[in-house]
Amino acid sequence: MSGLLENRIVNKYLRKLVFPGVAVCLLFLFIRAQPVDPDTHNELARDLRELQKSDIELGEAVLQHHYKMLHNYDRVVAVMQRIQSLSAALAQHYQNGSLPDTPEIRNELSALQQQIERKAYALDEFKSGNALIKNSLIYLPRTVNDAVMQLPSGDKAGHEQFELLLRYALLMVVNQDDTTQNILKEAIDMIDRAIPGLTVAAREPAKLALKHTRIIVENEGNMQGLLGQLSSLRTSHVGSGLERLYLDHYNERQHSATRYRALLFLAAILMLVYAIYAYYRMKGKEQQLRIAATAFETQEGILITGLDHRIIRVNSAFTRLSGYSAEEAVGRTPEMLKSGLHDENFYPGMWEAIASEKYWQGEVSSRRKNGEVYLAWLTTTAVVSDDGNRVTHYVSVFSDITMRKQAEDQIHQLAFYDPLTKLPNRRLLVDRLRHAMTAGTRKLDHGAILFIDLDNFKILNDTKGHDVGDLLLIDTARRLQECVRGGDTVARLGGDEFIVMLDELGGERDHAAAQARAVGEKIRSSLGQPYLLGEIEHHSSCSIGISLFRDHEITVDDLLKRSDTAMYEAKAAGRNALRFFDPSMQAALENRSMLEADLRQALSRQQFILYFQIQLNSSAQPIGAEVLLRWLHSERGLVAPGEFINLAEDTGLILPLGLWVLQTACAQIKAWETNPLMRELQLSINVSARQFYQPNFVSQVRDVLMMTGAAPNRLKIELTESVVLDNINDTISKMHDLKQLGVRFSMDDFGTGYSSLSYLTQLPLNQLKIDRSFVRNIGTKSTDAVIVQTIIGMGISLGMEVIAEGVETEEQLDFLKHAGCMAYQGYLFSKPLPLQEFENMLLVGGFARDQAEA
Amino acid sequence: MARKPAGWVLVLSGLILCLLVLIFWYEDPDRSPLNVSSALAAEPAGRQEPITPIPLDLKLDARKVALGKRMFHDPQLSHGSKLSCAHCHNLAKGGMDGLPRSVGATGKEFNVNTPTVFNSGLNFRQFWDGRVATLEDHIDFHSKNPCDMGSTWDEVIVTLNSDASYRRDFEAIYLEAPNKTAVKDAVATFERSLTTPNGKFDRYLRGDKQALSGNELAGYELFKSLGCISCHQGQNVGGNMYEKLGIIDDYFAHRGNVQEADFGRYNFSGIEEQRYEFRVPSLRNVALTAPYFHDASAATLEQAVAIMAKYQLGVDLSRDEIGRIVMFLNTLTGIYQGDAGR
Repeated sequence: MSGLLENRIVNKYLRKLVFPGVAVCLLFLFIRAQPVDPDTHNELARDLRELQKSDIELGEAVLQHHYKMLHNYDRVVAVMQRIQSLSAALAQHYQNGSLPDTPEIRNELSALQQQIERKAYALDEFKSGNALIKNSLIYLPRTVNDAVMQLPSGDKAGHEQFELLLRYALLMVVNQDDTTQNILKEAIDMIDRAIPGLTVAAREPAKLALKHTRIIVENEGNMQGLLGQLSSLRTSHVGSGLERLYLDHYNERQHSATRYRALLFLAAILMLVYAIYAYYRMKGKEQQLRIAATAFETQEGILITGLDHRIIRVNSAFTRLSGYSAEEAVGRTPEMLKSGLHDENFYPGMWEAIASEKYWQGEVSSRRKNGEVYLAWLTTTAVVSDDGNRVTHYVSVFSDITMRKQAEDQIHQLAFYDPLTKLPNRRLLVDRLRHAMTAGTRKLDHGAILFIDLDNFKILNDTKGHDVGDLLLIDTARRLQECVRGGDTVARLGGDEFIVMLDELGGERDHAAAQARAVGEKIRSSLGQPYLLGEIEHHSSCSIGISLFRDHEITVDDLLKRSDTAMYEAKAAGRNALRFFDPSMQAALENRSMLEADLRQALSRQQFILYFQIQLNSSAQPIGAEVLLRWLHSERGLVAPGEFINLAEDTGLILPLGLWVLQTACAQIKAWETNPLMRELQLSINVSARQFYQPNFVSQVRDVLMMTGAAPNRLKIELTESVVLDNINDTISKMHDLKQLGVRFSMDDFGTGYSSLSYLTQLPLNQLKIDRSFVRNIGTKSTDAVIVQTIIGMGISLGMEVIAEGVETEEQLDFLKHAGCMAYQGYLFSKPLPLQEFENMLLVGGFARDQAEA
Repeated sequence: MARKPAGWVLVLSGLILCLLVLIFWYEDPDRSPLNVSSALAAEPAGRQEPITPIPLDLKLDARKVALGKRMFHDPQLSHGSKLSCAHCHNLAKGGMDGLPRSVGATGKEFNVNTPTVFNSGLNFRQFWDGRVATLEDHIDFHSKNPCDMGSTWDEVIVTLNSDASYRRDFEAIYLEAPNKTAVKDAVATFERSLTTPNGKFDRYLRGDKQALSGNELAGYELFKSLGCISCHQGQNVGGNMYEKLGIIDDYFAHRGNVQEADFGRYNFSGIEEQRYEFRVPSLRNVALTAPYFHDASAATLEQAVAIMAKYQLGVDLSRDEIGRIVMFLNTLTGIYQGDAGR
């Protein structure tokens, strides 16, 4: 916004020179435009006129006196005095400046004064002369008469002399020319000479007559001159020259005043024009100001500071955002808004940037009046002077971006973090992996990926609901984070899959692997601890696949795939396990996939066979057989259960498979019904957790029993501890239902699980199978022997049958017998045999101890 | 950037401007109280009678007259407080002291006979030789002259200022403390007030034909026909022109003992023709102002008339004639009104 005048120089001089200059000019014009004061002029003009009038009057009066028409000098005296006072008045006028001080005027004035002085003298002379003449004119005839009367009557000459004297004396009054004067003087002389000759009586009058005549001559001679001086018939009036000069001057002054008045008027018009122009200009500026003011009152806070950083002005948005009113802010510096959260270099750096670039923009943490800290986006601009050399102000504009920042953070969060567990998501993990790999390039450090998959998570979700599942995931995330260091990353890939990234494991591979394993074990044990999900207690486990990496040996994708593979290995190993990725694993993986495909088709291709392993009592009599599933692969041949059972369980194929086993076993029971050798045998079938957890499992069994017509009491279902314990209530109820049918139960692999003995009593178990691992160690591990004994003892106490599986040596058998074990199963007696061979074996009979066929 | 002028500066300038305009609007009336009247006699009417009566109404400021009168009679204004103006110009004795020559404050004698103060305002000039034109100037002269007041203006002013009542009076009339101009104005105004109208002759002139007796009238006619009236004319029966003493005959030669004072006008003009010229004295109240002439050479009016006739007219008057003229001259005695009627 520029002022009324753009030019800074003009602006500077305007104040100091132009304004006073214009004022002085106007004053000058006004003074010059002053007309001559009419009062003064009138006075002066009147005095001049009076003077002239009086002068004329004087002349007239003098003449009247001369012609004996006036006898009283008071009037001429008064007129003369008036003339003198007017002269003094004119002199006063000159002193006052009413008469201009020019040489002409001065000369004229002094000439006037001299003239008047001369007139005064002349008047006095006139008065006295006139009086003398008057009297002498009275006395001359008298004295002449007296003289003549004293003359002898015959003295004609004498008579004539006197007559002449008288006549010319009288003539003198009207005619004073030289002729008359001379004649008169002659006459005087003549009579004067004649006086001694006269009679005594005549001498006095004659002398007197002469005296009077002389008086007349003398005075009358002067009269003309005096009259000339006193009357202004011939000369110009007193003061006329002065009057002329003055009037010329006066007219000139008036004209000049008129001209200046015109100039003054012109000046006034110009000022009016300028005022109109300025008015419209101002209107325009007002408009701009209004716009600027409106712009000023925007939503964004604006503060204007001077060069000293002191706040000059703020807008209402400033108050709204900062909490400080305009009064509180003005005079202070922006320091008052400091949050104290920036380091000490922040503000100096900002001001430096402003000083050099005249501009700064950025995030500033500020504090409101109420103490609240908020984030502001601040733009500060320096305002420079017209010549661009000086900074005069700083204008800062800021807005509250706290909300925006929060939104940004949220987006960031969403983009890179799992909403449920708040762990980094796959995207962020991949990013960090890349970084870690890059860092590894520099330092040749190993890193490791732990691919963690929660075991049986889907079952939990299906049975207890997703909310509970979520709680598990959240808790799992927490536990994982506790297991790792700060610099390690825990991420959730999705579902129940987590990834833990460890880096800086050192340059040595084995050492790195050891560390990774350590962490993995820590995790495995941590995740194995019971969970309290709401009010539900849950036991979980995980399968962990570990893969090491160093710089960019492999891609991120491959790394993830490897750890995934390793995890599957862990799963295949029976879950709750930890596996390292091995290249050979890849082959196994492929093998597995193939196998899986074949497995799916195996049932329909009827590639499955049941094998039977004999169970004997302590009298070496067969009491039953465990049914074991065998797969006769078209190409592979016989595939061991260890290879495909897990796979079947992972893929869910265990269900139809289990059902087939159930059906086939029951059919077999039915078929042996007529065989006296077989008819007493109990067939134990292994039922997997998955199978058992089916909601319709009980009805499934019932249906099969009905369908096949097999005697339920010939069927024994073998369950592992974990199967039982995972869902104890459900298990108990199913077991009871099946028990009611007549089906029997055996706990398989007893001693290897985490069963609590109290649960054991709740289960309607018929039999406990001592796990082969304990049996194997009889004789070598005393603790296992103790366990065996304990189990046997317990079983007996609980009224359960105890059978040992995996009996392979006589030693073991002896021990077991001594321990009180009632039943035995194992290679010592027979390996699992297909039906035909089994039946043949039973026919032959005689289970001697040394019958151990391969 | 210049700061805007403070609001009070603008307001003050505005007020000053208004004030100036108001001043210009209303002219200051001339308030000079010192309207020193330089007019002497009022201009006579158009009547051509050689002698005119004294005006009855002089239109003088009574306060000034009173103040002037007080100072006129105040001896403090002379050196050593010896005498006042009234000492020589005794109002009770015809406006002069009746001495051939007055004696001043310092004891020195004046060089000419003191003329009367009465009707002195009607004279065209003051002093026998007419050296000053106005009564004010005449005061100036007298106060300094060692022969009379013998003081200085400074002394006089100090004396006046030390008197509270003078100060008060001056303040009231002139709006200032006693000063030379004001003193002269007051005293002169008083002196102008000393006219003696309504004498017999004035009454006659105003129309009262019974005012003069036959002899007095005869005396007036004689006064005119002899030519006395040629010089002794006007309102003051003289006092408005100069004339030589000794026209027909040489007065001074006959009198002898010619002094400097006898030179008259010549003494201050230096013009030879003006030697022995004197202001024609006023004949008003002449009956009261013996001795006569500047040299007080005539002790009686009769003597004076005889001398005048002889030396100015060349006429020897008879006793009868002198007597009649003297009777006429007596009618010129007027009445001093005092403070009444001014």
